Amino acid sequence: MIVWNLFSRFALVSLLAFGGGAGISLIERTAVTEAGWIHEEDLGTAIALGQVTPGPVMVAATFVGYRAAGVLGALAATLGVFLAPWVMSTAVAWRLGGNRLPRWFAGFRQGAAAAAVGLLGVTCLSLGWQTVKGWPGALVVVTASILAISGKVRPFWILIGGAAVGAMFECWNF
Amino acid sequence: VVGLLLASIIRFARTSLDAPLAWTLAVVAFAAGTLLTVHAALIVVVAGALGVFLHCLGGRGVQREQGGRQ
Repeated sequence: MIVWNLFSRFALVSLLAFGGGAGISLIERTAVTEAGWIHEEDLGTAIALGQVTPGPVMVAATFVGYRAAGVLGALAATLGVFLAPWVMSTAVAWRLGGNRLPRWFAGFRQGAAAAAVGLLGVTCLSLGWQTVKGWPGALVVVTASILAISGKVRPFWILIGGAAVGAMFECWNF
Repeated sequence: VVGLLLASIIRFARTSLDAPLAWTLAVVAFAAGTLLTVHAALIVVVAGALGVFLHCLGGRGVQREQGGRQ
């Protein structure tokens, strides 16, 4: 039952994850709030995994699936989150060839992408509220943001650096 | 992770929010998600439907420039 739940819920997430931004919010809502498969702190780990591994951040679904139901859960979540977009992309590419997508679809995408920015803000606020403690945490957030926006440091190294600084602060009892 | 998410928001906003109405939609989505705890899926669908509606009205509502984004 949980395996089917993972597959169906992540399939729904994938269908609404326009631009990738809404996906994280949808995963949070599904996995943390509704199903309770993982805690908010674990979501941070899932997103980190999605950032440091090659490919889209949606591979966080694999982590959630594994935490919820082991290897079978990881397979179900991964299949759910990638199957529908793959089928749709193949169908659209096959049907439309070099033609442009319908105008109404562009409108939908623009509206959904705008909402995705707002929803990413919700996730960021929620995750920050749970995990960022005091000024050292805030300092790490600001530094990581600046480094990520500059594009000169890879997310993997930002996460490693953040973890190292966090461990250091913890040892010094900040 | 929060810092990376923040950076993603800024990058995503730069590319996606290119008209005042798009900014409004993002702010309303944020408010609906935090204050009213509306389901994220519903927010995305409603925002998408609004985008379709605005496109049908004239195509210059959410996005200033049309084309090259598909």
